[in-house]
Amino acid sequence: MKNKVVFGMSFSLLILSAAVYGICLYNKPHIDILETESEMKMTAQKLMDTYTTDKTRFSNELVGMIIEISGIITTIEKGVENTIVILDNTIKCELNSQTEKLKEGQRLKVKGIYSGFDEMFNEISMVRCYVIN
Amino acid sequence: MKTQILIFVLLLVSVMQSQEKKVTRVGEVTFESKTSIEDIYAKNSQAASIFLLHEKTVAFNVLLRSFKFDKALMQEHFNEKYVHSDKYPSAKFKGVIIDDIDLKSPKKHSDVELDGIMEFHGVTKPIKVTADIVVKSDQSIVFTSVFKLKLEDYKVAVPALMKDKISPEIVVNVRANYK
Repeated sequence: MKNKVVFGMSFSLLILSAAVYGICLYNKPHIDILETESEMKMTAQKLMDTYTTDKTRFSNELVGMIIEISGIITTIEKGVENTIVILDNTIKCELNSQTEKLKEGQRLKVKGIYSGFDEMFNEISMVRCYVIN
Repeated sequence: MKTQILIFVLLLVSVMQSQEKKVTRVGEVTFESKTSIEDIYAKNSQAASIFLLHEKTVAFNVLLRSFKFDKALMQEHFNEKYVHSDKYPSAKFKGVIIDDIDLKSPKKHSDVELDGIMEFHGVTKPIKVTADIVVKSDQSIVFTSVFKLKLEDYKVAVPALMKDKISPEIVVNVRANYK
């Protein structure tokens, strides 16, 4: 009888733990970019040069990577909720933060996540970017 | 004198070309799947697009990893288990306006038909979509469209366990403001 109770309690605990784990996993938050260490730091031009040496290799290696990029703003385009900043005509960074003070020609350092290569404009794309300088 | 004429012609061609082609990098593409169990919604606010006015052609390039979901796990599963964005990083659409509309004068054109081609998840298929196209007085153009995509058509496999949670047909909303 005692064994059955212990087994029952252990089984219930196991099910409960699995449920809690599942709920936590389901609701896990997005990575905190500002609080997470950058996996790569380089200039916009250097990143594009590195990428173009072996597009297939780097497009896979860079996926989901948090990268710190610096360069001169060559284009600013404002959307409804976001702003796109192009650094050195090569890296497209999507900013969610306030960008009223940004101007073309200004040097900028941003931190964000690599999301791919845009073949339409030949630009490396970064999402969830934050200005860090 | 000849040089001056050549420069003038080149400048004229350059101005004409810029008027004929409009671009945006902040196009918005959303998709949603609604079922009785779960609603899934994702938004991409950095769709790249070109509108060639003379050819009446619009083209979109949408990076799949730029879609944002409320839940990080859904975003992971979307990229890794459903659309395999490592292998097929973007969705592409190119469409030609069939209707005879004037894209130079300010006007709202409703339910404009486009004959297009969609490339998604390694599958390229012809597709017909309708769009509202607003030509504004400053010559900017707002393009909006809503259409449905069947996951099966693009070989996006949904595991049996998830069939009740993911609609077999997703609704895609597109909005681009070309300057």
